Amino acid sequence: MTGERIEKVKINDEFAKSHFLTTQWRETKRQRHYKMPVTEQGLRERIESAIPQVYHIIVTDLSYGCGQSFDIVVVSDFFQGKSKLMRSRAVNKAVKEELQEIHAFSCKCYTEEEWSKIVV
Amino acid sequence: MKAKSMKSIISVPISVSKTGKMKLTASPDNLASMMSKDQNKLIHLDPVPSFEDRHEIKPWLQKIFYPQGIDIVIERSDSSKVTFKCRSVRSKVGLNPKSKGSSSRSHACPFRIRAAYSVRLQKWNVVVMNNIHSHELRFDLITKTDDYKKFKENLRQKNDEKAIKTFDELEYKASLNLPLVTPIISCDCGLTKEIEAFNNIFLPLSNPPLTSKKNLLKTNKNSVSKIKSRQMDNSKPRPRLKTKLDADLHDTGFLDNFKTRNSCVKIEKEDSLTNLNEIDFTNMFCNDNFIQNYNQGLMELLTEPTPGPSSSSCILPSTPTRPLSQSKMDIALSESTTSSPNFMETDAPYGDEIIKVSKDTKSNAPTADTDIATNLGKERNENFGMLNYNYEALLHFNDEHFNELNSIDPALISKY
Repeated sequence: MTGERIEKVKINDEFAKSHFLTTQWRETKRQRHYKMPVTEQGLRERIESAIPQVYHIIVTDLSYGCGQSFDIVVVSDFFQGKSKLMRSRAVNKAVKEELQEIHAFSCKCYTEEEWSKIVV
Repeated sequence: MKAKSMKSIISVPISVSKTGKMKLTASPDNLASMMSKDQNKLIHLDPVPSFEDRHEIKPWLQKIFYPQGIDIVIERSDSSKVTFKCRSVRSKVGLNPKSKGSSSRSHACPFRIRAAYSVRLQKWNVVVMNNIHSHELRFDLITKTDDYKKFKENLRQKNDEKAIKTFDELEYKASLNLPLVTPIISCDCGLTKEIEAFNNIFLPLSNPPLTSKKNLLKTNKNSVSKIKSRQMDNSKPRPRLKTKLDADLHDTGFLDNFKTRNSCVKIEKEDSLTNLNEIDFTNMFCNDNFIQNYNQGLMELLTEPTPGPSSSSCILPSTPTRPLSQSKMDIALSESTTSSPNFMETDAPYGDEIIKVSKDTKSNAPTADTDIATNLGKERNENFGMLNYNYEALLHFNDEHFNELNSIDPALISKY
């Protein structure tokens, strides 16, 4: 046991072919490879459809068009009486599918009264 | 020490960043080159809403230029023209902290907007005269000014929700130093070149004075043609005047004119006409044919019963006769009434008829004589009126003719 060395093996197409893996793995890889990137407009539409009484949504692509890092601000009276954690959970639930694709995500939720104090 | 500090101030440009790198913005040092290269001149903003007052222009421009990071203020204004410029912002970035300040010339920004009211179009025209800035455009600095706060308050009063959300987003991003994507001001009006030509005193190809001169030349040509036409018109009525003068002369009847002589000739012709009328009147009864017929009749009447020398005295002369005088005519009329049957029997045109009748009477009964006489009378009355006939005949007889008729033997006449 002390003399044995375990060698890590990378799984690639050649390895899959030689070991006769199932085709499900290949299809999964193909689907991942051809998925479209997340856009500001897509996120905006998801949030508007999930959260009611939306006053304003600000979506900023921090990755300068790559679609990997987003900063989101949601202003709605729906968050009245809710804690910050609950507000974030509501938004995260709305964009659950997109969160699997992006690298970084920032979310801030305000009511209209709170928002009026932030801006001029 | 002072000399060193002055050199450092002069050598350091205003647009140097904290890291010491040169920024790609216009500055007093490279202003000339930037102005020559920059293409953002004479941007004609369109469509321009219809402003009721010139005070409404500034809020509209602020809505456009605040997202660009441009804080505009009024430079000068008039009832029909307003000029806007960029607010001068003092920035101590890159300057020596020991210096008291900098001159105002370094803060002179060439950015200008001109709004002029067009009386012809009844609207305001807004043009960006120069889009070059001598300072950095920062929206975060604008949000701290009082004008911006008034602007936001004005938007809330107007209930312009879309604009409010837009500026809220810009404020949030600016405060957190997030990237800003500003909209591009486009110019699709097509009038930029025209304005540029006007401002640089460059005349276009279609020069109004030249066209005006051409128009003047055209008018001159037209006037010349009019003068010619007038001359032609003047020349035309001259013969008419002549004809009128000729007509006047003809009407006046001057003897020196040939036409008037012709008219005199016409007058002579008229005289001849009157003479001809007279001649015809006399010839009706004193014509040679008439006399010959008369003589023949008499000869026929006289030769049958008693030929002899006395018959030669009955021949009438062939000379023309003259009308009788008044007294002679009266005498003739009175005698004609008394001797009407004899006279009627002696007429030449009826001589033949009488002869024929006498022949018929010989062969017929005596009662026929009376019938013949009545028939002759009827025929004479029907064909010719006694008075008219006698009058006309007597007018053309002279004394000589009358005497000659009287010289005839009445016995011969009574027989017939």
